[in-house]
Amino acid sequence: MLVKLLNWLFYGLCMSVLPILISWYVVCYMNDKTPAYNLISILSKGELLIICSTILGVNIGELSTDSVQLRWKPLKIVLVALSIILSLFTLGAYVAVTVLADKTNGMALDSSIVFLLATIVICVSSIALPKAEG
Amino acid sequence: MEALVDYFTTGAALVGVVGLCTLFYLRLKILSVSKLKSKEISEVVALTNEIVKASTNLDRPHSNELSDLYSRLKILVGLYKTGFSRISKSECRVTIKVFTTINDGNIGLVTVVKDSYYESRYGDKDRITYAGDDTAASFILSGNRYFLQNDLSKSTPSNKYYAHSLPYYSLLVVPIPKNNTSILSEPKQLVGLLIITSNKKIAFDPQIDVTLAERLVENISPMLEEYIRMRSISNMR
Repeated sequence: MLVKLLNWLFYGLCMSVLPILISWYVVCYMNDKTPAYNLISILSKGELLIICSTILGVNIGELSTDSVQLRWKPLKIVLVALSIILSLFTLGAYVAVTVLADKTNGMALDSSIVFLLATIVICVSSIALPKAEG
Repeated sequence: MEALVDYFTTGAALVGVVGLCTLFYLRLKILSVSKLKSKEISEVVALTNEIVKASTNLDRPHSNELSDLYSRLKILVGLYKTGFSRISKSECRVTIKVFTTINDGNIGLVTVVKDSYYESRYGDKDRITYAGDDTAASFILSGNRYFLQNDLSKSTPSNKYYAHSLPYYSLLVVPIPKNNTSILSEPKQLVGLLIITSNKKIAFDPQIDVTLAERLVENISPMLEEYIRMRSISNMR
């Protein structure tokens, strides 16, 4: 499970977030605004929400195809449902944030962080779900 | 729109909290299950090795050493009466095949066989294959040919369960009539199959008589418990 978790953290999460982090670094380097301001401006169009949505989509796909042990099936259903609900919320939030993109404020940043944390929790739970042997 | 973002963000936070609870629940359950599994598996592995070694090394399967070993076997189990339908492959840890003589139903011998379904499937011919009754019979024949020559190879109602349950280790519970010399002439019958699941419950074939299943558990449990206790004492020495 640990290997799977590390795999997901590196390839699933870090690689997805890397473009945003690099872009943040470059923007910070290019102008003299505060890092928080730059992060808000980068995330104002909901890029992080798109990443969350993608990660959740992959998670739903994996949960649907992986066979888990019988005793964990109810939990698998719960996690699929949570992933779908979170995806829908992400979708809604993305639409709303896009509309608000012109009004630069911290809202996109706050919501993106909340969505990212929720996505991480759901995905880690899904990875921790014991898979059926053989 | 701002209210909408707030609404969705709150929703996401709630989902995250539920996810976090799920994660904690999962972690607790996994820890308890893995602890149980490792203990159980190590016990069964010890039993398997001991019995298989004793069975194959001895010239005469009826020797006192083997009989002592069998008589000390015990497994800690409860009785789970709902049959096999609710048991998944991964939950199966030990299968007990129950045989009885038609006449007196005397249960005397417990044999633990390492199930090698996967090995046999991948063509490892050095291992004992145990995909069905025929191969189980061949093991018994090689290990204890004196006991079981004319049963096991017959098709039994329990065959169908192998296709679904494929346990890792099996306990063959075989009758020994009081007079061992007459065993070959005694007709025997496979009366059913018990499965010990990972939560140490025994599920039994609905075709098994409940009284017999209970009697088996009563008989086998103290023996295996004593065996495990003896092993732990000898390991300490």
